Amino acid sequence: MNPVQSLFVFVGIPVAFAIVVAIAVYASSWTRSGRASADYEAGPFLVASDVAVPDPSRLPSELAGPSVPVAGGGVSARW
Amino acid sequence: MPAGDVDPYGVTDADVSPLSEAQRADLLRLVRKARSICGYGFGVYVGPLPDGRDSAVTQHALLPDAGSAVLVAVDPASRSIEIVTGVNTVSALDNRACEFAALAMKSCFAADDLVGGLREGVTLLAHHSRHPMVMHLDEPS
Repeated sequence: MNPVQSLFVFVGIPVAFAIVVAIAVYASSWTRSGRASADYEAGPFLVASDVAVPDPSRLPSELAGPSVPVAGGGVSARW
Repeated sequence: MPAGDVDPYGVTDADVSPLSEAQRADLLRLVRKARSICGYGFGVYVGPLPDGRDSAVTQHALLPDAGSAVLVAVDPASRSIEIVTGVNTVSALDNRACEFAALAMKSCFAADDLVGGLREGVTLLAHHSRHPMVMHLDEPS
């Protein structure tokens, strides 16, 4: 085995293998999107479903009046 | 379209959102699926919440039939999560369940997965607020 072949076997192949492994590891993070990074500066985005399915148990008086408060609960959290 | 207005397709300000078309469609499918699970309306808001919870409550009031809707609002810049439930959903979705959903979302957001966290949170909320099947009301369906 001449020096060039030795260099290829003991350096070239391990380096190429390491590159392939690194690409395989990082490829998923390159393709992942929707990151919640702190530098998010885009405008707001709101998506909503259709209105709730009619509930027969609700009285008609509860169905009327946008003047009553609509928020009933919930939580706040940070990460 | 002004910020916060809900268009017939349920998507607002899509042109200025960093979310891809597929991700927006995924979120729309997500809220529709959540509604089909429990019957309540669902909304997802991603954007600034300058007044914190008050801003989230304002966004919640913009949802159709807000009293029977649940809003999951996320402000990535301030790393805050707000879950607002309507007055008619409180009986089925208490604050403890909301805390559980927020916890699941936090773990995903900490891993920089915004859409995944929203998916986890909304799905958990929908399953928690699912009411038991009632004969003659839910059957046949």
